[in-house]
Amino acid sequence: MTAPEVTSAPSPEAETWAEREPGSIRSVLHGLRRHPLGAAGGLLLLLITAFCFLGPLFHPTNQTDVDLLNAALPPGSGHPLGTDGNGFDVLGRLMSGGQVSLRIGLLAALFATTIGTVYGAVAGLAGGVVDGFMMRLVDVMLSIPFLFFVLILSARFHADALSLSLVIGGFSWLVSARLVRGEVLTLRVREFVLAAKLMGASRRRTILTHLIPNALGVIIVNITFQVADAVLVVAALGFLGFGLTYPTADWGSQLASGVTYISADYWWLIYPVGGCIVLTVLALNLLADALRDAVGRRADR
Amino acid sequence: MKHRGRLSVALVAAVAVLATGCSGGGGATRDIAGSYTAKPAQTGTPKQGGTATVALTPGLSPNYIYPYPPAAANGTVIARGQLWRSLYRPSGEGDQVADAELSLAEPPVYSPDRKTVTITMKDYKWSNGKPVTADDVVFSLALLKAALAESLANWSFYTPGQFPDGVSAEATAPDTLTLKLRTAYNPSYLLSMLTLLYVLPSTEWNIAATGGPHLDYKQPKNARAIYRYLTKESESQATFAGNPLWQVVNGPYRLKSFDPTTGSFSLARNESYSGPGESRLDQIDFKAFTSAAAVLNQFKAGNLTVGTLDSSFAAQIGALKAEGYNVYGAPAPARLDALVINFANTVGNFDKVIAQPYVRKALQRLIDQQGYIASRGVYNGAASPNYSTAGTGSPYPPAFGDQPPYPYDPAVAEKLLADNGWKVVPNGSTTCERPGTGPGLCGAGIPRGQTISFTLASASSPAFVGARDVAFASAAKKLGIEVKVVTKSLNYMYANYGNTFAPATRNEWAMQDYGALYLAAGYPSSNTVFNTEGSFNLGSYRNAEVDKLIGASTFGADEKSLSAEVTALARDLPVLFLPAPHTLVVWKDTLSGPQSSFNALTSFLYTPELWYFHS
Repeated sequence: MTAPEVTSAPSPEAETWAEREPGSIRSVLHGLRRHPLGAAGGLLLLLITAFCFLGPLFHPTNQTDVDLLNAALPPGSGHPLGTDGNGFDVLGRLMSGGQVSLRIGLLAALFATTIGTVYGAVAGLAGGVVDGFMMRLVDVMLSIPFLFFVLILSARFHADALSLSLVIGGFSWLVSARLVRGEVLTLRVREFVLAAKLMGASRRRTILTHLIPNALGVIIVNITFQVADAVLVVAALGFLGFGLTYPTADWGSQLASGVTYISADYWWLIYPVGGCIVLTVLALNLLADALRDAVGRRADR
Repeated sequence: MKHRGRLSVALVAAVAVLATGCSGGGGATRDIAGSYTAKPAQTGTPKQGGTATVALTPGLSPNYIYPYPPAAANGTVIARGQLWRSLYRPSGEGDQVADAELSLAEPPVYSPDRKTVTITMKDYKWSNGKPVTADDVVFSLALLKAALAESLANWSFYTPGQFPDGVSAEATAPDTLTLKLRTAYNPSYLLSMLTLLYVLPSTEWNIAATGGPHLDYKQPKNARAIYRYLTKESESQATFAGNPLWQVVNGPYRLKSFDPTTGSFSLARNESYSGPGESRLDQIDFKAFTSAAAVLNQFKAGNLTVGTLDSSFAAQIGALKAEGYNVYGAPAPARLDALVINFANTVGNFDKVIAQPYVRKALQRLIDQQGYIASRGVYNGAASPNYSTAGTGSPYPPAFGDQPPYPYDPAVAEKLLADNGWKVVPNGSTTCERPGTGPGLCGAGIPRGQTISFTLASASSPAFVGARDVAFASAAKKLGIEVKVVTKSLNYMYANYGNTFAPATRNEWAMQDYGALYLAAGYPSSNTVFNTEGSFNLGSYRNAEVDKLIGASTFGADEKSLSAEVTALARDLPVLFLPAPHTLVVWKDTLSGPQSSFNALTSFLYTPELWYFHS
C-alpha cells in the first residue's frame, strides 16, 4: 500500500475498491438496471418533475390573482381541471404546488442527509463513549413526536418554503445518521480504511475520502426515502392548515381546501392533487425500494 | 420496514381519495337563496328525555369554566349561560337587548336621574334548592371588581372608569337589588352590561380555600382572595366536572363531564332549575370539532342533533333537509366580521402607515363584498353586506344607509395612494416617494421608499375566513401591497392576539381575522371595543372624536346617539369591514322547540331547556 489510496485523486486501484464496495454508487446504479419497478418509479418521478417544472411553459396560468367570479368552476375550456375556491386554475396550481412540494422535499432531504451523514460517520468512526453518547442523543430526538413539534412551531412562527425545509430536515437527519453510522461501522475495519489510518490519514480525511464515498449508495437510497417523507410531511402540515399560505401553494394545502368542498362534489379539487401526492410518493418509494435492493444484493455477494 | 410503512401511507391516501365519496359531476351553480330563510315551526308532541348532541364552533376548544374569564379566554368558556345565568339573559333578537322571559330579574326600574336602579329578582333557585337572591348579585359584582383589581385584562367588557367602576350594589331585600351609579348610564347600555353580569352563589363560593371559612365578600380584600381561589380552581380542567364548586348552578344544566383534550363536554339536567322551559332533555353533549367539514360529515352520518353549517357548504342544505334536518339561516344581530387592525404594530412602520385614514380607505376599497358573497369559494351566497359596527338590520343603522362610504373600487384605492405620495406599482412594491406631512404627502413618520407590507393572521376555521383573507391579499397585491396571510388556530388567536391582554405579541400581527365579533344585540355599542381605554380594544385604536360619541351613547339618554357612533366608526375604519355571513343553524326534525330558541342559535345562544324530542 502506497500513497495513491490516501490522495484526493483516486487511483485505478481505489476505483477498484469502490466498485467492490456494496454501498458504492456505481454498484447501486448497476443493480437498479435489473429492477423494472424501480425504473418505472424513476421514470414516473421524471414525468412528475417535468410536469411541475416544465408544465407551466405549456399551460401558463395566473396563480396570484384571486378570481372570485370564476371560483370552483368545473373542468372546461380554459381550465382543463377546473378552478379552486379562489378561482385559481387547478392544473396550474398543481404544477406550482408540485414545484414547492418537490423543492421542499429535496431541500429537506439534502439537509437531513448532509447532517446525518457527517454525524453518523463521525459517531461510527469515533466509536466508544463518543459513539454511545452521540447515538443516545439520536435516540432521544427520535422519541420527540415530529408532527406535534412542528405543529407547535407553526402556531408560533410563520412557515415559508425555506424554514419548512429546514425544520423537516432538522428532524429527518436522525435516520440518516443511524444508517450511515451502521455502514461506517462495517467500513472502518476494512483494509483500505485501516491502511489509510496507517498511512497517517487524518480522521477528517478518512471520513470524507474513504467512508462517505463508500457509503454513498446507502445515502442515496436514504435521500430518496427522505424526499418521499418530506413530501408527505408537507402535505400533512398543509392538510392540517399549517402549511404554506397564499401566494405560495403546496399540495397539502390544496388538498385541505379541496376537502372543504368534498360534499359539494367538487371532485376536481380532490382527485388530481390527491393523485399527485400518491403518485409522487409511490414513485419515490419504488425507486428507493429498487435502490435499497440493489445495495442489499451487492452486499449479499 | 419503514419504507413499507411509507408505501402503506401512500396507498392508504390513495384509497382515502377514492373513497371520499365524490360522486362526480356537480359544480353547477346552485341557487341557494331562500333555501334557509323560513323558520321551521314548532311541532310535535313533546317526549320526555333524550340526549341532544350539539356541534361546537369548529376550531374552538372550550377550556375555561369560571364565568368571568380574562379577555384572553373570553371565547373559550364552557357552556356559557347554561350553568350560570346572567342577571339578564342576552337576546337573540336584533331589536332587544335582553330576553325578559329568560332573565333572572324583572326589568330594571330607573330613578328620574338614572343614577339609582332598582331590580326585583324573580323566583329562581340554585341547584341546592336555595333561592337566587339579590345578595348573589352583589357577590357577583364584588367578584367582578376583584377580577379587575387583579388585572384590567381580566374582563373583556371593561372600560376604566365605567361599569362596574362607580357602581355600588345593595340587597335592600332578599329579592330587591338597588344599584347606585356614580354616573348615569344610557338604560340600554346599562342593560347590555347587566347581561354580562353572571349571578354566582354567594353562600357557597365565598371561600378562599377548599373547606375554608366563609368570608365577607363585601370587603375588597376578601373578594380578591375569593376570586383568586375560584380562578385557581378553574385552572384544573381535569376536575371541572367533579369539583363540587362548579355543581352549584342556577342555569338549566350542570356540567356532567369535560374532556380537557378536545374541549368536548356533557351537560346533565339541573333538577332544581326553576326558570322557564320544561328541560325535557336528559343530557346535552357538546362536541368539539377542528373543521367545518368534519361537522358536515357528522351531520350526514346522523350523529349530530344541533349545530351550525359553514356557508361554504350552503349547497348541502337540500341534502341535509332530505336527511331529516331543519335548516334556518340569518345574519346574527350585531355580528361584526372584520379585519381587525393593529395600530400598535411597528413592523415595517405599519403603525405609521395604517394611521393614515387614506390608507385604510384604500384597503377597504379593495374588499369586494358583493364578490365575496356571490363567490362559491367564499360565502356561496350565504352572507349580507356590512359596512358598520351595527351589523345588518340594526335599529341603530349608520347615517349612510345602504350607501357605504368606501365601497369596492380598486381604481379609487389606487388613486388614493397615488394622490398621497405613493408610487403605485401593481403586482410589485408600492413605495412612498413623497414623504412628509400635509396634502399630497405620505404622512407622519413614513420615510421615502417605505413599502406597505404586513401580516394578516387568519383563523384556520371556518373555511370562508381563509378564503376572504386570500381574496383580500390578492387584491392588495395588485396594488403593490404585500399582505402575508398566516393561518392560526382560533384558540391561539383568542389567547395571543390582543394588545390589551397580550401586548408582547403586538408585532406578530398587523391584522387579524378571527371570524365574528358580537356586540350587544339591541344596542350594539362598541364602547369596550373601540373606546381608547376599552379592554377589548385589541388593536389599540384611538380616536378622540369617536370616544366622545361613544361616551354619548354610553351615558346619554338619547339612544339615537348610537347611530352617530356607528356612522363615525364606519367612516374612520378602525377595522376593515367584511360581509356578515349568515349563521346556518341545522337541527334534526325530531327535535323541536320555540322558534325563538333556534333563532337565538344564530348568535350561539343555547336554550336547550326549551327543546324536546317528538315522535
